[in-house]
Amino acid sequence: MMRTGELLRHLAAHRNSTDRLMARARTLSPEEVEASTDPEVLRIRRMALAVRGEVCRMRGFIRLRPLGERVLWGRISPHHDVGFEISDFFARRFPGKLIVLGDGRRSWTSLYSEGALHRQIGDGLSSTLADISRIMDLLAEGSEEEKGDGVTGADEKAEKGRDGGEEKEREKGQASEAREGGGMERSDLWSVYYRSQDEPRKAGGRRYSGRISRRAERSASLEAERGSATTKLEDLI
Amino acid sequence: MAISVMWVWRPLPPTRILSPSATHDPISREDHHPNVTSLEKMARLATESCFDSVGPAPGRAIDLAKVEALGRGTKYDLCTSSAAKRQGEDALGSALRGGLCHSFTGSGRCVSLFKTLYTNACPHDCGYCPNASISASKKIFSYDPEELVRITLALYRENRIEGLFLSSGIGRDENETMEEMIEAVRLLRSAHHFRGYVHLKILPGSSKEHVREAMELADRVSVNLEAPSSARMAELCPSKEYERDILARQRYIQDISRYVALPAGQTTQMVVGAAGETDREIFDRMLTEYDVLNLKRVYFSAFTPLAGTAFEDREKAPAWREHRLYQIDWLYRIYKLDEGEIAAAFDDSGYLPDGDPKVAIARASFEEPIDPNGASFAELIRVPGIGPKTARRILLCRKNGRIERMRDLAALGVAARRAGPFLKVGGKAAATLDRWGV
Repeated sequence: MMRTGELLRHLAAHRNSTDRLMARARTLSPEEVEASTDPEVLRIRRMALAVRGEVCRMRGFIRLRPLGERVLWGRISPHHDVGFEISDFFARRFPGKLIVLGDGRRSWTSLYSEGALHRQIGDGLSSTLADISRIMDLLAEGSEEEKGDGVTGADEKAEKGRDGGEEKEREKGQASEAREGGGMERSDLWSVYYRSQDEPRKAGGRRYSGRISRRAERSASLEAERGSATTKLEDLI
Repeated sequence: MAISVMWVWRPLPPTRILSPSATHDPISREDHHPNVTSLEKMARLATESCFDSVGPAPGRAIDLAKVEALGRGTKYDLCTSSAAKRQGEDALGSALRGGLCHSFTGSGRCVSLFKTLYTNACPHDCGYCPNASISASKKIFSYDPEELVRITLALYRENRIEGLFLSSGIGRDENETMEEMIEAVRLLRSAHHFRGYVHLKILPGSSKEHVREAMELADRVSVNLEAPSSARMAELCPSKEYERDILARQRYIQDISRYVALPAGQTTQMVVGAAGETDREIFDRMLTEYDVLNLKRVYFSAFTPLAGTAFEDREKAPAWREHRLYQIDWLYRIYKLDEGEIAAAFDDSGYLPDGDPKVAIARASFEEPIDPNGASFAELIRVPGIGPKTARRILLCRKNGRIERMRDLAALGVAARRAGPFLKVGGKAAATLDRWGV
């Protein structure tokens, strides 16, 4: 049975949610929502379930790709207003990593660090990723300057600066690898693994499409699994 | 003996409760995106963060032939998570309370976990198994713990998997292989703070100490039964001893779970249709597994003859047989039907026919259609097309008035076409069994 808070949260995120439906939902007990045959209550229940279903699908089907060492990004186009629900989920899963999700028009960035959750909404995946790359480069330059200071300063500081410089190099290497399409090895790894599990008797085309529609598949950028093209970072930046 | 719960691998202190956003109650539609931090600050926090949950991307090349060969070895293994309840879940946060999310390959195969063998070397000669020692053409591969960890993290970071399912051939010695498998999971848990789901297979014949170590690290452990009895096992795999190698290990797990918490419990799996066993034999073994050994799930895998194995010429078991066994499993575990009732679903020779067993049982038990306004919960869930959730909804709905229309039942989730012949709505049965040919 869905708790009232959860129902209201899901209903508020539904693209067709209205104030009137929200007001009606506030008057309903969990039992009524669960067992009413009233058409409007049924509609409220179905809307909340649709949002919950979308969150579940996106969480399961989204694919994340690295940009440098501190960013994981993925393309989603949710139907309902659930972007932060999904980016927060991955931020908590990968503490200390910036999670950037979105499509051409919207983006959701979440970070879970030191027990607190931070968020930012943006105008699109490409502009947000470009901003983050720029900021990361500036931060790396900052640590290079620190290296310059370290030459005349304490040994300890010099050591720290050198580490920062190396880290920047590594990060740059990784970023360029990501720009080349996520790195061949990683793509190969998952496709080799998925292929090894392929078993015609266990593969249900009908069951598969029953669980995820083509639309949801596209919006969670799953084209690669189908063998069609996948978005590359260079398409976005 | 004092009962204590051990959480040896938990590496992180409980996280403090969250930013304003998490406590904020986003009930109105407008106020949906609170607590905004600038990108600059977030980037700085991420760069300064000393904790990197998955570490850097894999540097050394991964042997893809090995990934393929050892992945293929678990193609017929089954795994899902039915609700991993773990302590301090909010702090650990990575295994979902509701079980695993699905992830699919292009053909529709669900691969929620990185399912793999640790090694495909094995001295046993199980007739159905592609890793059996007799298949001379097989190339031997083995992981080392560090390599397995790198691959798991690479897949986890991309959200292609929700965790690890680690099985193995016996290798040179079961305890040596078990030790390396445990070491791999220990590396994941402690060095990489991996909090995803881990299902570890206990190799037949492993020591009790290894079973305990595996249980401290994994969410779920399982020993494969493969056959429903020792006589059938002798046919499947003459070199395995049913009682000593398998049942004794299941009892170890049962004993140890009294003081080591195993969030997703113990499971097992059986090969269906390789050794001529009947469904009734499988059902009887399943009852022992649930009632005596407290297993969480029993999985079935319909036998597929594979080239190069001793059983390559045997007939393959139909996929529906696996499906009907799962339906029986559900009726026993979720619907709580008793053994006597379920017996009605088997034919005289002890097999399940290819039809919904719930309909067969309902035909045997219902003398006339029931009125949903007066029926008990136990009666309602015995109607095909009504599950426990729908039955509960009917009981709730009845408090506010009578149910007089089939349409209302459908709105509550009843599969009207299947349930029709067994229900009397508004004083008359909606359909008869004969009319839709059951």
